Amino acid sequence: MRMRFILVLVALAIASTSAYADDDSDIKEQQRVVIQNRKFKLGTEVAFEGATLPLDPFNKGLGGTARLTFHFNDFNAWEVISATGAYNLNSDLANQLEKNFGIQAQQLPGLILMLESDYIVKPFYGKFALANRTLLYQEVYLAVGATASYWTDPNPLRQIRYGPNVGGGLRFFVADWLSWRFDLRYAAVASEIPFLIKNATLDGVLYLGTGLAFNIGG
Amino acid sequence: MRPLIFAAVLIASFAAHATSGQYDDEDSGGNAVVIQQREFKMAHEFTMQSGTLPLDAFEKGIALTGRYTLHFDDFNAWEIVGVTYSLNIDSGLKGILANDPFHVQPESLPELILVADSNYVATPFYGKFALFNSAIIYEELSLYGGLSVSYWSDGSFQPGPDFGAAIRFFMFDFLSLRFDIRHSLVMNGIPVVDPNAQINGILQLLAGVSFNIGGG
Repeated sequence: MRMRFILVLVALAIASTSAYADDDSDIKEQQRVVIQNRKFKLGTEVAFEGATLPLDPFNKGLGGTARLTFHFNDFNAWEVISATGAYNLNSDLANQLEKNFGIQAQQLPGLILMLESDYIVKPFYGKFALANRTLLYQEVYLAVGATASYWTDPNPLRQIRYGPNVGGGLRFFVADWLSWRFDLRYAAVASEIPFLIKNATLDGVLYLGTGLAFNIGG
Repeated sequence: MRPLIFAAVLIASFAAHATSGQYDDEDSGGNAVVIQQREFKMAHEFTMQSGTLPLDAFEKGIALTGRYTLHFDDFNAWEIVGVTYSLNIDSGLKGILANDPFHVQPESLPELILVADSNYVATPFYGKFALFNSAIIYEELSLYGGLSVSYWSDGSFQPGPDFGAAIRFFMFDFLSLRFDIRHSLVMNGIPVVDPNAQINGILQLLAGVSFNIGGG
């Protein structure tokens, strides 16, 4: 009986706190939160981005990315596929290994292609005042999913690496059909099962990209 | 004369376009754009952050950061000082290089210890988000540009420019949550002039809280 009483008290306390928070969150709008309808809604999105992949110790990668995303509603979307091709420039470390230690470029692993598929949640949608003059609409989204990647590596077992990825992004709407987006993603990819198989590799791929997204429908 | 007329027409067309742009971008709310007064204003900002400094191939840094920023008005501020301590963790690359197929013992390279920076801060974007269409959260987007000085484990100081951006979510008048991305290009000599000069990139990905005093 006492347990039930405590549970009721806790439930009441939580309910009153959230109600208070709702009332208090926008005092200047007459104690009420008014959410406008969204001006921009997305349907099928095709995005093209340029990116940098700065984490590889042997290569500084420049990436070109294409993404296809289906937006189910205002909050949920599925980035069905995204493909990133990397153009690798030698890092200082790779140059030193090649010049001073006789290491061949083919011996150094480098990311070539990365495929991702992600669930996208878009909790934040809003508008910015740009220098208090112009309105810009934007949204913030978070991504989580799976990555498969192809690497140059003398060991064939290490050429395909896969693993989870997480990330987020910011989108500025330019028109119904066009938006400008910034993405940050991090994938942890392994060649085999890390920690269980001795020779398995585990690499982090950081992706910093920006580009244009074209929307069809919505 | 003809170029003058052409220039005047060009300027007039740009001006007309800008005016039209102001009245055009909110169709559903009438013909005029109404910008509300800012709910949150900043004055003296003290920031504590943590994050990562991921660019060093041999050592991955865990960042511990403190900053003080003086906000002059809604748009302009001076981040008078920001200091980041890097807690370095071995990336495992030395082990990889020591084993097959490389068999290379890398020389001992200096590790980043501290980065101090001072930046001009422009905050052109201020707005509000609907969180799951049910609550309103105020935020702003800032851009940074300034100078960094880094201190390394071999006792050297390397200065250079830095730039970055941050997004801030306001929780209360006195508290906000912010996420930063910053990049410094520090060097141990003047590139081009000194053939041995090296440029190091320091990327900082940070998240933390800011405490605001004054402003309202």
